[in-house]
Amino acid sequence: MTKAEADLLQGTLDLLILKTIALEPMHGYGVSLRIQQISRNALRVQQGSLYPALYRLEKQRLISFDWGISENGRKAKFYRLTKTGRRRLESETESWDRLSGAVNRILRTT
Amino acid sequence: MKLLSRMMAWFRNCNGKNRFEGEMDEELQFHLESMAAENIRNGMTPEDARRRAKIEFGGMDQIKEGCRDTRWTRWMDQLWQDLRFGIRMMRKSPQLTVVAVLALALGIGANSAIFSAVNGILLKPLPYPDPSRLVTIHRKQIAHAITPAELHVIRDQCTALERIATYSSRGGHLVTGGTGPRQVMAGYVSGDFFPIMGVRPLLGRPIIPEDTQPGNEHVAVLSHGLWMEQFGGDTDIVGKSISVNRSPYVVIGVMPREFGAGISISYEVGSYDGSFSAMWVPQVPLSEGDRNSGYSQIVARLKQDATLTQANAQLQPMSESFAAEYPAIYREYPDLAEESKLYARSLDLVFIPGVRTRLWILFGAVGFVLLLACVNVASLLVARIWIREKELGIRKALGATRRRILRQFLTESLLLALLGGGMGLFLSFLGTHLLRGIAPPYTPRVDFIQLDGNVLWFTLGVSLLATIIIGLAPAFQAWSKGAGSMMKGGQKGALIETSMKRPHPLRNALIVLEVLLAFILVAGGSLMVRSFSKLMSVNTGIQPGPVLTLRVRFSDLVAQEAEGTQRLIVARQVLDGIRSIPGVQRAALSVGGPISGGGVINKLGPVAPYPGLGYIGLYIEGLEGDQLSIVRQIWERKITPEFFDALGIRILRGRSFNAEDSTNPVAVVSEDLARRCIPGDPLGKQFSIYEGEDGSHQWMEVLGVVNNVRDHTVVKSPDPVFYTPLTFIPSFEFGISVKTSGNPMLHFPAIKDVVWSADREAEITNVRTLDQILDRSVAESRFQTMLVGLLGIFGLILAVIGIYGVISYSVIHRTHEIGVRMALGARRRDVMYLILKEGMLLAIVGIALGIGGALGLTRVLRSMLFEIEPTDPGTFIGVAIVLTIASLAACYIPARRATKVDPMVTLRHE
Repeated sequence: MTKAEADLLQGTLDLLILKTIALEPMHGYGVSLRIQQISRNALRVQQGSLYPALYRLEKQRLISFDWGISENGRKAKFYRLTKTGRRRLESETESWDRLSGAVNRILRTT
Repeated sequence: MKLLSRMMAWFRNCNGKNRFEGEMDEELQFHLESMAAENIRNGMTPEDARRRAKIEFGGMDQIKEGCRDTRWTRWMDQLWQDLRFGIRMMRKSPQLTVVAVLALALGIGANSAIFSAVNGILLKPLPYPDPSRLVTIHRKQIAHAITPAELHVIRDQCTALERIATYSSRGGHLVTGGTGPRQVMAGYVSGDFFPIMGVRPLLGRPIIPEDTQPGNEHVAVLSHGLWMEQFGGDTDIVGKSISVNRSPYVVIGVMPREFGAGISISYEVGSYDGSFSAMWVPQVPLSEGDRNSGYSQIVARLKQDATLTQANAQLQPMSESFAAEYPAIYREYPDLAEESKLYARSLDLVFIPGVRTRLWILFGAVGFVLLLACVNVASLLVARIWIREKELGIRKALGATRRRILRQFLTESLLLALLGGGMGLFLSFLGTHLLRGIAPPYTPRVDFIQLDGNVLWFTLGVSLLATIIIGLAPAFQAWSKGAGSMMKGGQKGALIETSMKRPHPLRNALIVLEVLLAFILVAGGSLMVRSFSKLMSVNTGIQPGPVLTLRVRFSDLVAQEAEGTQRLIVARQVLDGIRSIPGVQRAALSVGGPISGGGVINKLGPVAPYPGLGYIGLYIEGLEGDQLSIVRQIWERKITPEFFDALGIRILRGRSFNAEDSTNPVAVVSEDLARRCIPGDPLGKQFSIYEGEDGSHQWMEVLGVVNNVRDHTVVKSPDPVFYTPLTFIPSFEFGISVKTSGNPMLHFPAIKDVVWSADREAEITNVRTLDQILDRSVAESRFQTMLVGLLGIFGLILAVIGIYGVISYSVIHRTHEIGVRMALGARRRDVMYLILKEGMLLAIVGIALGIGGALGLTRVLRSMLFEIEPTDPGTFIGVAIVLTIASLAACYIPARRATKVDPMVTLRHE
């Protein structure tokens, strides 16, 4: 595990989860796969962080879930974004853009 | 337990715990299987795929814990877990649990009991409307009165006050009617007093200004206590006549319970209840020119916008101008100016000098005991961490966070503290009963020492505080050890890294603190005990022996018919009658009885400017002007010749009276008076204590000198006294002292018959043996000594238990090391030394620091100590030795156990 993978901030993980399931309802395994794929293996979410984060987000009513059937025919928990979740995603994305833009500008300044 | 588990199961179902767990299992299982499926797709065998997935997946239980943490009922589940675990831990080490709970119970119980006294005596608000505006004005030395002229000036010039009333407490009121005669204290009040206090009577009406007109003043308002005890709560009492000092008084009202609290500044012995007046009667205003009487205090209300500071600022110039009127006396006694200063203060619930301070000191001392108990339990729990290392290691490895471990320890300590607190509450319930029972006589508001809501809250608060103290230390200790070493550890592999090299700073600090606190407590207790033993060995000047004293007051019949000399004739008949009782050896008349203070002694009218100032001129023949001796207090006692014999007072020089002397102006003086006031040989000298306006004197010749008698109180050095022959009985009342053989109380019936045969209606009061009087005069000291001494013993026990416990754990922990040492050739003596050194080093550091702490803290005991310095070196050395020996004993038992270690057994465990 490289440094970049390890230091995934908690807030960042929440943001990634929200973004991932914003596209379509997804189970936990799917979320971890998707993050890994999209980041081209740069980010790997540990189950020890993923599931507590999912439970926490659910408790905050940002996401909810339905039981459904997975692609391999098993019963699985599919998470989806709630209305508040969607609003939160927008505001979080915006502030993330602002933050990363600012950090980038500082780093690029020579 | 079973019922509880069932209830918890039901609760879990209700909040969906089972469903939650099931779904979580399902979800995580799905994740795991998906991973395995992925691996199979990548070409692994199913078995490898599953194994690989499991490795990648990580600790299932840790993930589950993380998920559970997000649930709101989580803390309840954990609390339940912790509680169950805590109870298991307690059952696993019952000795530790018993010691911890007992220590906490005693610590918390002592605090609750003393707090109930503080709460009842000091913290309750005054039972009057708007009490913050109530003030009282008196001189700094409360015995000094305020003259009518001064009252006039204060009324005129002290504009910060709205309304002013005078209040004078006087003891020695004999109330008859209802159940038997009773000596009570009465408050003489002006017409404004009751309106100022603003409390309506329970029955009848208060005293109004018309009652204070001469001729109307024979009315009385009763206190609730007197009404209940003397008159059985008779609701028809108003309008009835009672007898006060033989005069008829009409009861006009009864005040509610607690009325009177905090008003009276006097605390004369013989009063109804230290600070309460038992009844209130009108004070006929004194004429303004009267210089020989006065009011003991003023009770007033501040104006709405005025403050106490303003009132005091207005009083200040008055005190100075009064002082300026009598330059001679103030020059002679510089501290008189300070003592006679007038000042205003808020009404206090308790104004018995010292009671407040002493109670706070006691409160501080029990606080120390509780702290010691907590440190004790904490040190034991910290020491136990050693044998819990494995458990804690597993907990951490399973993902317990720092907060989680802290919570677990706090829950365990909460269990201990609540158990201790519950038992403590029970102990304090007993304690308050005990306090009320053994409280010295005249302790104010002793009835209010009880468990109420405040005390319960206080106990709960103290228990929680104890929880935090005893829970934080082991949690800190547990965390500061690395999880890795714990897993390895337990008692085996830890040999090198834990027991030999690693210091135990927290445990050591706790033990040192424990010994330090114990030292302070033991030192305080020892000082009190030594002071008390000095008090008990004081030479009172009276030979202890079988002596009965009593006071007799003749009935109206005898008293009014007879002049003073006639009364004496009746009294002498009584005396002769008593002498003829078999078993009576000596009998004497006097004005009162010894040591009890009130009434014993005839205090002379002062020649000093203010009534009650107590400065009298003692005129010695041949000395004039500046040579005049001024003494603070001088007492005259009129006696019959056998008085000295009966009480065992020794004649030092000259002789006592004989029958012929009764008509001559002669006196016997106390050693102190002779030494301080009469230059040269006192025998044959003439002295007088009063100069008439025409310069005339009533000279008395000194016949003899007797030893000093501490008859006012044992604690104070005696005042100068002179004895004169009893030639008449100045008041209706006199004292009889009877020396008997055997138990003096047994002779009381016969003595009573003699008195009643002379006057069938004579009242006999204050029947006491000399021992009882002596006992009473040291009662307060004994009470304080008992309490502080007990706390000291308790401190010592706690310290011993603490050292013993910690060293015992240390031995268990080091068993392996000791085994290795012995296998390598260490002798039993070496092992013994090893363990003793571990404990004794800490004890000695604790004692050294304790000496420093005690030097600083025992100072507060000064007001309670008698003839011993709070830093008495002998006591300190003694306490240091006792603590050293106690610590040695506490270390010795585990050290001996260590020498019994069998190296073969311990090494086989490896």
